[in-house]
Amino acid sequence: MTSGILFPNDPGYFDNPRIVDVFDYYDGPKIFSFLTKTNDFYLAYFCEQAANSSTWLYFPTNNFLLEKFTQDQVTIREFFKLSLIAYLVTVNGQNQVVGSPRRSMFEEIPEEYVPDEEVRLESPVSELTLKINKDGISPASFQESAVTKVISGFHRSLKKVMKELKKHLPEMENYQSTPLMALTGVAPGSVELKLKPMDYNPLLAKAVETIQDVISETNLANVHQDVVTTVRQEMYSLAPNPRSKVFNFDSIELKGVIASTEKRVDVSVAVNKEVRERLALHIKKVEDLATNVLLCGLVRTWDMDEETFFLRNIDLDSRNKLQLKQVKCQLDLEGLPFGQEITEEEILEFMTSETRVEVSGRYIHSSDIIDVATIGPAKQLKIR
Amino acid sequence: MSNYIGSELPQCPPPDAKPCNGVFFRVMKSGRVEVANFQSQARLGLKPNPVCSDLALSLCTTLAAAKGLMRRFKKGFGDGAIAKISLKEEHGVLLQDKATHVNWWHPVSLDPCVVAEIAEEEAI
Repeated sequence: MTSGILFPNDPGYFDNPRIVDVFDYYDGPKIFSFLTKTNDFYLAYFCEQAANSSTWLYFPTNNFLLEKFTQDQVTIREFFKLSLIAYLVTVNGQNQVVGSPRRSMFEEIPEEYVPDEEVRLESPVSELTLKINKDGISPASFQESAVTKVISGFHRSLKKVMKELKKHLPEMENYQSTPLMALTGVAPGSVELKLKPMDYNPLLAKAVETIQDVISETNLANVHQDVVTTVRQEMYSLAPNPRSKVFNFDSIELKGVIASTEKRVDVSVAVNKEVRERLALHIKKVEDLATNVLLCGLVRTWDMDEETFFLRNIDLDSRNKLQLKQVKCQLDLEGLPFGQEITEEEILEFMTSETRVEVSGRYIHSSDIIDVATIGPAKQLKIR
Repeated sequence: MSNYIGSELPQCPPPDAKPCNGVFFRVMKSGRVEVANFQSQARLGLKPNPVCSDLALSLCTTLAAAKGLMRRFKKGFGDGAIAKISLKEEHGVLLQDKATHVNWWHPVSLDPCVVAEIAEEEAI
């Protein structure tokens, strides 16, 4: 501890701070955390530049509050308020404080130094929050395996969207289509997962932005139709299935910021709730009509304009063999849905796709399928 | 790299800096393209012991990032203007340190105003 320097108003207290982390940089650090000579912890916020000096706000802080700020949980203005006090400081070119720091409550900070309500720290990378809502599910019936299934499902979907984007955006072809993500936190009430790319990846940012555009149905003119289809397929495959006992949660939300464009991502797969409700109603109608068309597979694609959806139907038949069908259905059902036989090519594609499918409540890996037989209009898949 | 700003320091510009190419954006304190808006912190005498990055000029990689900077620092940058900077190989070297920011070391002989134009007429 430096003798005689204890308080912010002591001469030299704020001189030559030791920078810990820089959170905003433009012609030098503009928002950063630092330690004083006496190891007191502060956050510095740049206010304005004069000819030979600059003005700053120094907020006494701690790791808990700083984490809220840097993880985008509070705005800059909210951080100012939560900090309770600030020191308004003028610093010269020698990194020394000019005059005495002015201690200020939030209300006393000049308004011209305080950003508007919604202004946040710029996200360093496209950190994403994947939230699995399960408010309507009793804790006893919620299966923990749903969390890992959603993570792996989301990861797989994102990869597919990136691969599809690479096909249509030449400038992205050199980027990896594998997002490197780390699980950094889980919150109670819902399951909240922090997914953070390990490195800056424009392709990942583009994929997330595209998912946002497709789900919110904005800027679609700039997105290739194949990409739109892929996003719809993949996001719906993540959505809670009305017939599934495994994905037993209410909805999935994806939130984050695309750093390069500052575009906020706020995707809820519950946006698809309407489709899901209509599908459930449709299934009920089919069941009421006592049709022999099986409708317990996952929806693979849908087209809201055409009011049709494709259902990939995989189930065990009476001989305990896998049966694979693809059924095209009209959402606005007047008569029976019509079945569309699945092709050999599609089955082969599925068998080599390294994916798993849910079959009567359990998962079958595509590599387990060893043979295909055609019996009437259906295909029978023999499994190991 | 002896002809660039900052080359008075060793390893400056950094060896991993890449030749300029592309369009970038610089937030300017005044509303005009003028030399005063293209001075590094070190050149302004605000860094007593400058390192290489203190001698570079900051550029934003997107217009959105430049606007975001003006919003985050209402008094510091908000009453200025944004310059669009069109760079080619002969305009120096860049080092990208995050998605939205690059450091630019231009040739000493280059007047940065030559490659700059106002991106938007009115201050944002």
